Amino acid sequence: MREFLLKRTVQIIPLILGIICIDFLIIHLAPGDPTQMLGGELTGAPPEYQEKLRKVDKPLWVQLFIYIKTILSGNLGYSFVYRSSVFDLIMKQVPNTLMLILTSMLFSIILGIFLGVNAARKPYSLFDNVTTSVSLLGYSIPNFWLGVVLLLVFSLRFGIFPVQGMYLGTSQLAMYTRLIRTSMLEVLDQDYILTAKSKGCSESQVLFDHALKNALLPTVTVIGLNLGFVLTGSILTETVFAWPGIGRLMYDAIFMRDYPLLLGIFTLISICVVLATLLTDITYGFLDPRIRYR
Amino acid sequence: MTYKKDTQTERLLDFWRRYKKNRPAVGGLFVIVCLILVAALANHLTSYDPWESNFGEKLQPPSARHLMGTDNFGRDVLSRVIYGSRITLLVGFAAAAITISVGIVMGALAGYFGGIIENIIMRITELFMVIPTFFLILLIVAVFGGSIWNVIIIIGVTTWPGTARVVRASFLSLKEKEFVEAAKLAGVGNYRIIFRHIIPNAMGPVIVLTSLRVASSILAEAGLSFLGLGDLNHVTWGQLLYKAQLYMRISWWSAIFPGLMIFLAVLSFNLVGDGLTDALNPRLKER
Repeated sequence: MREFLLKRTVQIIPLILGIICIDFLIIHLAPGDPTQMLGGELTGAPPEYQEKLRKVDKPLWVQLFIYIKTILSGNLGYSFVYRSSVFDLIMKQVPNTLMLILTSMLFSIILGIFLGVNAARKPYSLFDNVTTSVSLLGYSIPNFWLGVVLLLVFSLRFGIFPVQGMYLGTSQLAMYTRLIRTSMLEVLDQDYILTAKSKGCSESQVLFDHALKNALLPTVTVIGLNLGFVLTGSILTETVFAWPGIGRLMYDAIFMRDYPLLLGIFTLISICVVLATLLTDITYGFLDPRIRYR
Repeated sequence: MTYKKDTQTERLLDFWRRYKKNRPAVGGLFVIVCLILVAALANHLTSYDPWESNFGEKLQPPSARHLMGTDNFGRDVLSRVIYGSRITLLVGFAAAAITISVGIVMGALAGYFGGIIENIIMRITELFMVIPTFFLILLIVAVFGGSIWNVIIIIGVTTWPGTARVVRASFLSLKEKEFVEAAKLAGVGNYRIIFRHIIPNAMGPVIVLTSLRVASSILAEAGLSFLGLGDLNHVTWGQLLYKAQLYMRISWWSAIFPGLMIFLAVLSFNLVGDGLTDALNPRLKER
């Protein structure tokens, strides 16, 4: 187990360095001077930051090295629009986004399990067909447009404010429902399910105790990998509903051309997603011992 | 020669027979064909100029004169949606074309040559699989500007790794096959083996991916436009939705219809992707 943990942890190092290299590449390929891009007019930036920016006269690889070191030490730059450190700005918004994302994930996972299991219980029944088609619709619907529709229908017409988290969860819900349905169907086909049935277990016992436990495994991997996807949805959601989270911060940063903030958000979010995949891998290793020995 | 042609038509017919069984996929294909026709014939389909304002008729609800109502400049929403299909489909197809071609080349290089080339390409694809692509697209468009070709290229260049992985996987198994061995012994060059012998056999999953990529590119462009990052000089469905937001409270129609079209197009391409998967892998369906 320790070897497995170590191996997986080492694997994320190149990913994190890669993300920082992408940032570096963007800064240097951007039209105009890198100093200008990171410092704006340099009017509001504190002297020590200007000092740091002046290191651009060094050779490129030295700059890259310094850049990596700076980012890894937690310094994501300085926003000249807000006159504040990018890291602090982002951290202020994190709880709001986290709340939104967690609500949507909980909602979609719980409802997805319920719908998926029931759809798999009687494949090609009316319930299954309806669930499968609706989930295909839910998967294709542009998240932000759905938000606009909900705003129109609920808060403007009937005066009820919609639960953003639930709405952010729709496309995930569609995905989990389909995924759990397929993996349930696969698991229900196996011999040990037949054994459980012939032992006289009730249907719900077979479905939830025997089948679901194994059918959930592929879903666990997807939940972690989906984080990036959910975060993408959350920028658009936060924009539609004016929710004060990271997405909203990014939206404002686009308009104020606050590049350090944009880069910082991208970097932090990407690193979070990398960490989430690591966590997923580890969880999966705990849940399914076969993985560890591969 | 005629014999070969016959088997090819036969194979196409066979493919169509299998595809036809998936009725939603046939519906999706129908919608896509209609959308392409609408885009091609846009100037014959509507008598309203999508750009000319007419303040006498602004913000009118849908009626017989304006089936989808008018916007805040009195422009007919239907004709804007019709013209919008042009750029929207262009973005979808062009970005998908870039993604797929870059993906095929990278996947082919990695799968065929292996070694250090494979290692480098695979590390890059791993990185791209993990980072949230839309954030990256957003960042690059914000920095480099959102002209329509910029958007297309950026979507194309940031989403190729998925294709590359699929192509590499097919290459790994195909390059061990006898016909590749035979071609090598016959002295055929690497370049020709890759493009003439292996790629045609690896196209199945790539065709499915293309359909899904068109859908996701349309969605990405719409998302960018919705955040105000698109090309303001062109009418796309995402742009229409973005501009409609301000007047949403008084004119629901200018926000609903463009979004509905995005939804319809994305759904259709996803359905076609599903149908192609079934038709290309008959074995999967039988289970």
